Amino acid sequence: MGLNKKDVLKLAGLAHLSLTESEAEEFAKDLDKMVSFAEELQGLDTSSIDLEDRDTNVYNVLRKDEVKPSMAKEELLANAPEQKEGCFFVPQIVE
Amino acid sequence: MHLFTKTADELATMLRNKEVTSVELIEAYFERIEAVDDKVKAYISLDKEGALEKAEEIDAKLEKGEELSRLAGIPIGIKDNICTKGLKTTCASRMLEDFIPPYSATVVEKLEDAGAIIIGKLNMDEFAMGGSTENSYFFPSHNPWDLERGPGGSSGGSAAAVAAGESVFSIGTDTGGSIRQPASSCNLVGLKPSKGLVSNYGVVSYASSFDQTSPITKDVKDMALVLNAITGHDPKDSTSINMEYPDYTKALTEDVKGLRIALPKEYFGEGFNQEVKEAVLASTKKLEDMGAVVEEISMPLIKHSLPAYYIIACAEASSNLARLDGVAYGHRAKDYTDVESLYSNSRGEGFGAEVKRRIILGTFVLSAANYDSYYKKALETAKLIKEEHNKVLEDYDVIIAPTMPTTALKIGQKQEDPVKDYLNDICTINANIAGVPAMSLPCGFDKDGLPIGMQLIAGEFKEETILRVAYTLEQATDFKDQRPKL
Repeated sequence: MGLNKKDVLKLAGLAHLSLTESEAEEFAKDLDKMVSFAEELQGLDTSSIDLEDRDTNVYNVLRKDEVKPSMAKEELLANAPEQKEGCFFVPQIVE
Repeated sequence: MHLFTKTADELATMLRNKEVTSVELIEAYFERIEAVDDKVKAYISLDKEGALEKAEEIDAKLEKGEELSRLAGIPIGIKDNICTKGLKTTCASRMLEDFIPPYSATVVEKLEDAGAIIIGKLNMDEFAMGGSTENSYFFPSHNPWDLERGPGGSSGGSAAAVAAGESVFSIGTDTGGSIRQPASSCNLVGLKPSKGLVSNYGVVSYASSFDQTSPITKDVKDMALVLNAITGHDPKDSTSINMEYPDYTKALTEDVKGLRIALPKEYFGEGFNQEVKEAVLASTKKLEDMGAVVEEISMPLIKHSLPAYYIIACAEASSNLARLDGVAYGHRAKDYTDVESLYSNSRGEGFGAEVKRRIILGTFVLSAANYDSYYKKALETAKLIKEEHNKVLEDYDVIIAPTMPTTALKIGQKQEDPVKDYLNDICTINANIAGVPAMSLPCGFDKDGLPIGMQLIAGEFKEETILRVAYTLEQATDFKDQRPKL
């Protein structure tokens, strides 16, 4: 496949994942091996398979929309790295 | 009398005969943990105070003669990717190092309703990615049978704790063998139930199509008791199966007459350790001697399962782990300038190497240019593999295979090449792809005294068949009674 450091950094960017230079280099080698390994499937004939044709025991799971007690705000905020005035706090997103 | 070598069923009888109280049991297990966990490193966190409080409640109920579950008063550990309200749940990751869940997983609630007492949270590979616990952010766990070796993974802490007598049984998760591999490495029984039999609500997702909450026990009877407690429909998990659930202890009968066993030759070929193959075949021969019919078959698609599994698992992981962004919970980097760098830096610092590797591969196979040739192809392959399994399991009651190609590896012996590491999963991933139940059962020891496990794989919701075959085999051997000298 020939995946290089630049490809890895682009993928990491898409996944919002900062990498160090040495990580990017190491992963480029690993990913290249992993992708070559995955390419083995290309030789397999899967033309008989229709992914739209679902198993018969797969069905939609529906429930009534009922009002039930929910978790307290304090409980939900308890693990927040930063909070302000009862909200999760993040850097400004909209100018 | 060593309390720490006993099964849940034996301890349940002792509790009822007043030979021991639940409080004494908890004390004894914490003494054991103090004595051996420095060497085994099974636990990430412990909760002695909470455990003793619950044990007092159980003792009071027992004193009053209340009828309780066989699991009541029994000390257990839970894998650290399963949420326990008020008790830290880290996924062995820096990302969730300080995360205290505001609710408990359904499996935890069910065990607590049965009276089982959670004494701590068990080590694992970070976010269940790995097969040795060496990917834990905190420390690797050690195999009680040989401390220089790993206990397998990713539920390595769950197996090491039970084998070392630090937990009577334990709960972990199995996405590609993460219960069965460590059970095999530590001479224990590990069952991955059919997809949807045990609720995954409150269990941190890795690859949702394959993830299955699963138990590890010392013997088959305990497995049936635990299944009775944790199976059932859960409205909070839309993949949970709504059906009539059996009493699994009723399957504990010695009867394999006419049982049809398939031995796929792909599981006994090159790359498989000779002693492992011999031990699995010797146990299969025992079943044959007791009246089962054994036939060698071929499942040619097995050789394609690894790439299909890793493509799908990594794709799902990259999506599932997107929720960890340093906003609502989890690690937040100190250094950032805007919300984008807050995400990237928090994730870059919070995740370890294997998790990053899998997120990147997942992002690769899901990107527009590669979607059809990798992801879609893998889904089609998985469906073919599922069809092949269903067909074999229509003709046969069980498939027998080794659990792992080798016995437990030395810590640090992991391959340089991640692909070679993935080859260790070759025997176990197919049951996850097919969604069928599979158990690892002790079946011998190699020349170094390391445990060997065999797999019993049956059709969807045929857990009772597996329990019956395993129980029959267990009664004919003494592997389950062997304990490591620690």
